[in-house]
Amino acid sequence: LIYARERPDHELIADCLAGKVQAYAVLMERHQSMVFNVLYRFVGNHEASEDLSQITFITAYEKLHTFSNMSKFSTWLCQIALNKARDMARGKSWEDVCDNLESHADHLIGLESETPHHQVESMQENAQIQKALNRLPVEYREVLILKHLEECSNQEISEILGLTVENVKVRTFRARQMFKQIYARQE
Amino acid sequence: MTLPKQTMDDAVQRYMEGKLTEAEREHFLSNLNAHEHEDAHTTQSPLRALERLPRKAVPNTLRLRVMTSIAPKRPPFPARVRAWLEQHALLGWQIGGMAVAASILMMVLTLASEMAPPMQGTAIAQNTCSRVVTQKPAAAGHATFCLYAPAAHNVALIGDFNGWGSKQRVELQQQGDALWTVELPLSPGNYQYAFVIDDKKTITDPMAEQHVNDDFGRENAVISVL
Repeated sequence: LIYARERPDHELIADCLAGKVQAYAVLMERHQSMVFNVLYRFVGNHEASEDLSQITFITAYEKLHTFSNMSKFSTWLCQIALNKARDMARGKSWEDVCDNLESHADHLIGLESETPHHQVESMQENAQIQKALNRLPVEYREVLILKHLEECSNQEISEILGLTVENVKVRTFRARQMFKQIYARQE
Repeated sequence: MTLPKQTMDDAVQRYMEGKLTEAEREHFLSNLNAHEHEDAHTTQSPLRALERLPRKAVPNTLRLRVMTSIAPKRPPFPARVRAWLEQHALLGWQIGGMAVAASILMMVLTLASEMAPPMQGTAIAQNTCSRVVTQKPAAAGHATFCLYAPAAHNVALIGDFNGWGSKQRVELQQQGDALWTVELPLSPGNYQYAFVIDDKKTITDPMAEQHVNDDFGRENAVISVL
């Protein structure tokens, strides 16, 4: 594994395709934080994110022979993850999917007596931000997550979302404006 | 001084991404009127809060859930034929002498393999205990052996370097939930080895660069120490 950790993604992918399944454990170790966090911020629900992460990695393994080394493996994984998240969200309201943020806020108030004030404030702000994020339309939410949480470049976002770089810029601008308005209304 | 539009657009992007230096930021803000200044601030503020959201720890069970749900892919047919030919002497001939015949055989059979249905990509692994990760390639007289064995209680390494366990017991140490490793000082040369799980089950290392058949019908992994 130590050896495998030093190997680039494309070599590990070749190993997987040659029947060495454990090379995939190394690929997972390398990319699971990105996949899980993108999904968590997208759906705002821990269990759903874990299930979606599992589906993402299994699907990626099944389709590994179709992966082209023209793009980064992380970009490809992210594409699959967001597709799965959109599929899951289809036909459901976000209130069905997301954690109950109101009860989460109540829980935070309950913690107030035993937690330093600044920590409570920070947790409340995080909950408000996640809530605002979940109220954004899907196409704006994903672009903000990729840009501001995963620090993807416009080029990477364009590959993940299948947009032109110009479209990414426009969508990012609109997403920021809407995010600002939603957040301001919550305060 | 007013910034050109292109420069201003870039500056807006970088301001929103929090990538301006303090001096650039002051210069950028000085080019905005009061309304634009307020708008820039109220847009940027929640974005900074968004960026401060803590990263969530990945559940420990995720990798296990995935790894127990996938099966090794079947290597392409020519690779399987090549591997088989490398491991078997045919009619007393060594493989080198069979190379030409093998090439012809592979050319003929490749067509057949392309017409064969693909192997099912995903299946429940029956024995997660025997999942071997890989061994570190030998370098500078040391080799690290690793095994991914979530269900194991103990893992030992046997090989011709320790008389297949009769001279010295080499145990792998558990790292985390499922990974077992040990590093050994070894003199340069080729060594055959295998893992023993829970003192019962002997398994080979499918991630090894080479395998050879032993005299007992088992397949041993081979490592080269430089």
